[in-house]
Amino acid sequence: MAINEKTPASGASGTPDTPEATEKESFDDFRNSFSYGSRTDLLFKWMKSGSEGLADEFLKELLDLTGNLIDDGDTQPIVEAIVRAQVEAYAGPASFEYDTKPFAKLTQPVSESRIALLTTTGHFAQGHDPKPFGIEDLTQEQVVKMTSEFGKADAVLSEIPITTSREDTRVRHGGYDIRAVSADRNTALPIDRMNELADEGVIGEFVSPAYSFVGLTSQLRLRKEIAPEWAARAKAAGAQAAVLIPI
Amino acid sequence: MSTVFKDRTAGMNPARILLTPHPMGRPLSAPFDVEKQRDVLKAGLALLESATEGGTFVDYEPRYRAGPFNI
Repeated sequence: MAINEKTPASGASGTPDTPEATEKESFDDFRNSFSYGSRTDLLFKWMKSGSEGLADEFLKELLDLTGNLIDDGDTQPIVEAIVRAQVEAYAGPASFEYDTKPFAKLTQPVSESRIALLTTTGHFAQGHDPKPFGIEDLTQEQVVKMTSEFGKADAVLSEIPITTSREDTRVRHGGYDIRAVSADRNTALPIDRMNELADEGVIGEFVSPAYSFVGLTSQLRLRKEIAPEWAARAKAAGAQAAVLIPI
Repeated sequence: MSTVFKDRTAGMNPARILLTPHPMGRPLSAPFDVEKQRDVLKAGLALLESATEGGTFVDYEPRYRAGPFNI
């Protein structure tokens, strides 16, 4: 369905400056534009992955709930509507299958275990930029435009000493909305919480360094070659188990 | 991890997964929801200890709490 007419250049009268400036934008174009398009918003990029009907229903519900929010101040229904829509958009199996089912039972209590932390969030310590493609200080805006390149490249593991301060922790990832993790690393890289749990004896030890990489990467190479090397590094650092946090 | 990717993750045959009902990009909590961060982590660690077979999926029931929270 066509939802509007784009008039990118309008004169004072509100009419287009040139006849060719007016073009139809379909609803499909509109919803797809949130996924690496003219309206990129990684919290809502799922509108492209899901059906047109899902995006349509979600936007109607969002407006209705926003109307309620004005009066009751309750954001919870909006959060839950977003989660429901994301779940539906990404429902169904992935395009790849794993033929093994690894499992190892923990042989001692967590309170006596050395636990490592690994996330796919793209965090790294200030001064230790993983320099994807050999480029230092890429911005978030730049990596959002480089997702296809990241998807084909090998993952680079960042080591983040567990004494690294919040101020010295950086994050950059073109695959997800980093607003929350930028404000507080512990929403997905819970270094502060793990340190507290170690101090309280909930876990035996928090292994340093913590590890993070950009999960938007070559999956085949990651699984077959890179991840086993990383597991060996974590074991060498003393890890007996690991908390893995995919974003 | 967020429950958003439950189906896709199942195909990876993970050993154990704690699924949180949170939006993408916020698997533990909203920013500065320290209580929730601790609770999710403890639930994950409990699963690490209790799981007896691969493919153990557990839903973390408490809802995501929107902020703001005190820093």
